[in-house]
Amino acid sequence: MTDQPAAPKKTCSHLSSCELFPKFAMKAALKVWQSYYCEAQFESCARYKLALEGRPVPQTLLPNGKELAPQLIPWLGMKAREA
Amino acid sequence: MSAASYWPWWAGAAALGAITVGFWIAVRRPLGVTGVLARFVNLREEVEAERKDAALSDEAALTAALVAATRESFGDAMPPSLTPLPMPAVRLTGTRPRLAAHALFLGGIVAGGLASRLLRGGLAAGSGPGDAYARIVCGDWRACAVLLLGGALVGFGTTLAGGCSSGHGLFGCARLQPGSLVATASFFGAAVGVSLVLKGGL
Amino acid sequence: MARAPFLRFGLFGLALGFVLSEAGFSDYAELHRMFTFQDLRLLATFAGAVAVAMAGFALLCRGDVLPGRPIHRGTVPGGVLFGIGWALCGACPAIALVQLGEGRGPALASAAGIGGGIWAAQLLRRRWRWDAGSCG
Repeated sequence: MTDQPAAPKKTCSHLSSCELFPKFAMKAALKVWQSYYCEAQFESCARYKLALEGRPVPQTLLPNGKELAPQLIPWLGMKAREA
Repeated sequence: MSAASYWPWWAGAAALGAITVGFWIAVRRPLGVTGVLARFVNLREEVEAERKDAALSDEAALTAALVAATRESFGDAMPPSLTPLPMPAVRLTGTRPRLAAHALFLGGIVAGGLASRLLRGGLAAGSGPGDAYARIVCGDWRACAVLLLGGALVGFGTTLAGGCSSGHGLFGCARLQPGSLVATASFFGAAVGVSLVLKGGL
Repeated sequence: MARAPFLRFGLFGLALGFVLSEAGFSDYAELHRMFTFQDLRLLATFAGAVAVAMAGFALLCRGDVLPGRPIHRGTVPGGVLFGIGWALCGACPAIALVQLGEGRGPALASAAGIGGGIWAAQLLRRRWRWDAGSCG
């Protein structure tokens, strides 16, 4: 069993269990979340804060505290074609 | 049930070891009971989270929604440096299982105990922790109080430590995870200590 | 996990409960003998299981990576409290469930206690937040 390699700067310790991180890392358009939160202000990440309290973290919770599903479901039709 | 009829150590060891590894291979989750039980204690929040997850279970939809949310939150501004973080080594832990699946897991454990009894010819109904318990700890109604207290300590402690004898003891130690090794040493040491005190008489 | 793995969870639960019962982990007297080193059978079972699992992982799960489980604020205090409780009531969460399946009435008290303890710990965790190493 191996642990992930230590990153040079202070990064969020939950990277390998976060359901959103792999998505941020994979798509160029989403990397901004990673640089803003995961590798910098992870303590202000809403997901991290929930995890500290031992609460379940839904996939739809964005680091800035907004929820994915409710606001965007009508958009999905358009954006899916654009993206 | 006489002590003589329990499985020899190597049989139990082989079976439990196989279950620990088999579970990981089958469902990609660490074997553990405390975390599962804890979900049902925190049921309202768990149901809420599961409801939200179900709304965006389609991979493509999730990605599209993320892209849209990115534009909404950050506009088109891109921060100057975008050095990508190293992707954590392939994440093989599955997403949090459905509550129903976990309920079946817990139910299965109960059923397993039942099955063992039935195969041996009868429920242990009415038999408590036994005469040994009455001798070592206490009998009658006070035993109930001690069981409640002991149980509370168990529930409280396992939740704080993040695992129990299966989660930390079996799975975590087999994977040599530091938190599990320390937790196991802690709970084992404490259990031995208290047991020796009880045996020696208070 | 593709297609709800209900069957797998149920079967593994069944297997776990069955083996724990057959091995004698749900018998208070047996456990007490293990904790006081009067009878090493259960101890050998436990240690042996860890060894078998270790070998199994090494052989079959080469390269699998898990989110780390570091030592955190709750590790030692939680472990110690758990151990004390285990010695007192003879049950860890899994064993309490096995005992219920076996029909041991007093296990209801242990189980109720465990439920209450979990609830209290969850409340505590919300006041005193700390990083336990992973998300959910």
